[in-house]
Amino acid sequence: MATLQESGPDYGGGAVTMFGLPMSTTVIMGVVMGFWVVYTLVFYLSTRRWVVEDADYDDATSVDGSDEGGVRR
Amino acid sequence: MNIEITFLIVYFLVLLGIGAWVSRISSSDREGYLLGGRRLGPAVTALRLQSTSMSGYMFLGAGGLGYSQGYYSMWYALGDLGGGVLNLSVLGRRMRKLSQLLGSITSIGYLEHRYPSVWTRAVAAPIALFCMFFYVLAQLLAGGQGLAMVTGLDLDLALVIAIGVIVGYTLMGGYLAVAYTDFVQAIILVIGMLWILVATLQHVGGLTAGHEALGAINENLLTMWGADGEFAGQWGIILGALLVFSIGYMGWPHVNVSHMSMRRPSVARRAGLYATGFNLLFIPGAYLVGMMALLIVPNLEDPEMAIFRVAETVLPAYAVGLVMAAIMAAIMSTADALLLQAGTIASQDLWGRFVQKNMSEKASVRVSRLTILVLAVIGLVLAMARPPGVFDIVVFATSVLGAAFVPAYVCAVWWKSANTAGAISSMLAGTAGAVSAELMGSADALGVDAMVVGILCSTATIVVVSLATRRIAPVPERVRRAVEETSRVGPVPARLVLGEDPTLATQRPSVESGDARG
Repeated sequence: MATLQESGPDYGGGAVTMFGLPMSTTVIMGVVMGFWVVYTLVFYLSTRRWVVEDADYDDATSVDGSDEGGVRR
Repeated sequence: MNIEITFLIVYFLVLLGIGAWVSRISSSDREGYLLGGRRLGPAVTALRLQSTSMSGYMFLGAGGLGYSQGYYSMWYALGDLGGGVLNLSVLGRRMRKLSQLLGSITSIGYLEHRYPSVWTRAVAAPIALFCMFFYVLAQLLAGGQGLAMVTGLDLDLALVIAIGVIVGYTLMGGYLAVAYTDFVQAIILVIGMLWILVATLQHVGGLTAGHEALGAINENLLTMWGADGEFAGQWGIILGALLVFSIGYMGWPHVNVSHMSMRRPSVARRAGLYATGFNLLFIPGAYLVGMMALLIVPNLEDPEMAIFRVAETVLPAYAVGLVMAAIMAAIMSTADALLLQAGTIASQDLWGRFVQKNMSEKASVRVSRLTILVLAVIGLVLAMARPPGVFDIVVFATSVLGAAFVPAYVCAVWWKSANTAGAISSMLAGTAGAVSAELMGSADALGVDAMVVGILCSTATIVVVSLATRRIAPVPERVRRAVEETSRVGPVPARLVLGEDPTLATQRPSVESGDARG
């Protein structure tokens, strides 16, 4: 008896591909998940300049949560 | 006493211990209690944000949806995967900065400061409080049911214990306790989910074998179009599934408060990485285990029990205790944040703003604690009455929250011309749009999710009304300056930083021209 992968059943026009899923499912899952991974990396790498603000907040954020908060001049 | 119950008792004691510890190290003023002194780092920010967003739905509803609809359920997962990083990248840095520039310590107060009018808070607070109370009620009920299921205790007693633990650490340590316990609970969530996922895949012979067996039951389960193919071409429904847990998060006040509590604006960068990492490890697994449950425990009467029944089948007893703790973690980490925010809105944004305007710092914190306690007792009484349809209201309430607040929060930091009239009308239009669409059954009749309708209404309204009223109701210069400063990456001029003024938030003195660079 042929397995699903060998016979390639028709899932509404799509052939079985990776992990036994139809092509359309594989493509949608891969593209959207890949999009979020790329989005995250682009966000992280493109915002390196944000650290220029850190000096303002590092010294001023008090453990006791004083009203002065993070901005000090 | 079996090992599952022992595990849960230890787990509850750890949470209460964290609450007690935090109460000793945190400050007793409002910023300390409501925002953890604005000192949270990226890991706690990210995992707090994510675990708060992941309610008991992830172990109950997500598994049930996978069980009944197969890969169609993954549309929700695919939207959810990017919810954290989207929120942090769009709002994170700017909201952290603007909230401090405007002196805001609550997520609703922030809206009033950005859109200066007493009506902003008068409209936003009741909408948020109403939706969040039903949301927290469902989480409390789910917490009690989860505990009763694991321990065999009477549901009423289980409710008292579950709510008692949540209230205990929330009252003791405030936001910081909620954040730290949520951090711990997020780790338990990931470990529990990965453990059950690996065991499930081993049980069915691997991912490919599992898919093949599912396809043998119903080929449609492996497609993204529903068990009967009923969602093929229903792009309005699919868009709603993608949006509700991605863009929708940006309108949830109890989630957005995470931005305001970051140690510094740049925390959002690394928090985005952690959020996506957490999501990739946790979210797809819930839906996948739900699907594989069809092979392991077929013919379940209640599909929402799919993950729980799979855990009982494929895991050793000691690991079942961990998964039960993970289920409780998912429920409790959402319930505590909701309870704290609902209490904050009731005490700070309504009582402190409209009734008792001149509370001292300590009195303000006492009122917050008392309000949380009162809301918890009301929630307990209602939960004991087992109101019907609570979980249906949850989905509805979260959709309304997203529809009402997403444009207001996003435009607050990205569009300096968004004005008070635009924001208030947007919140009302979003609420009315989502409620009307739900009542008219837009999903079935038009193939469009109620939240999509609501967000379209609120977005169009804030744009049209802000533009139409820009001459008669311009954005105050000091607010416009603060928004401009927020968009700029660099040191903040001290004179732009305003202290919190709960009684006269809309009447702060304007920043004089020419001092923008301090």
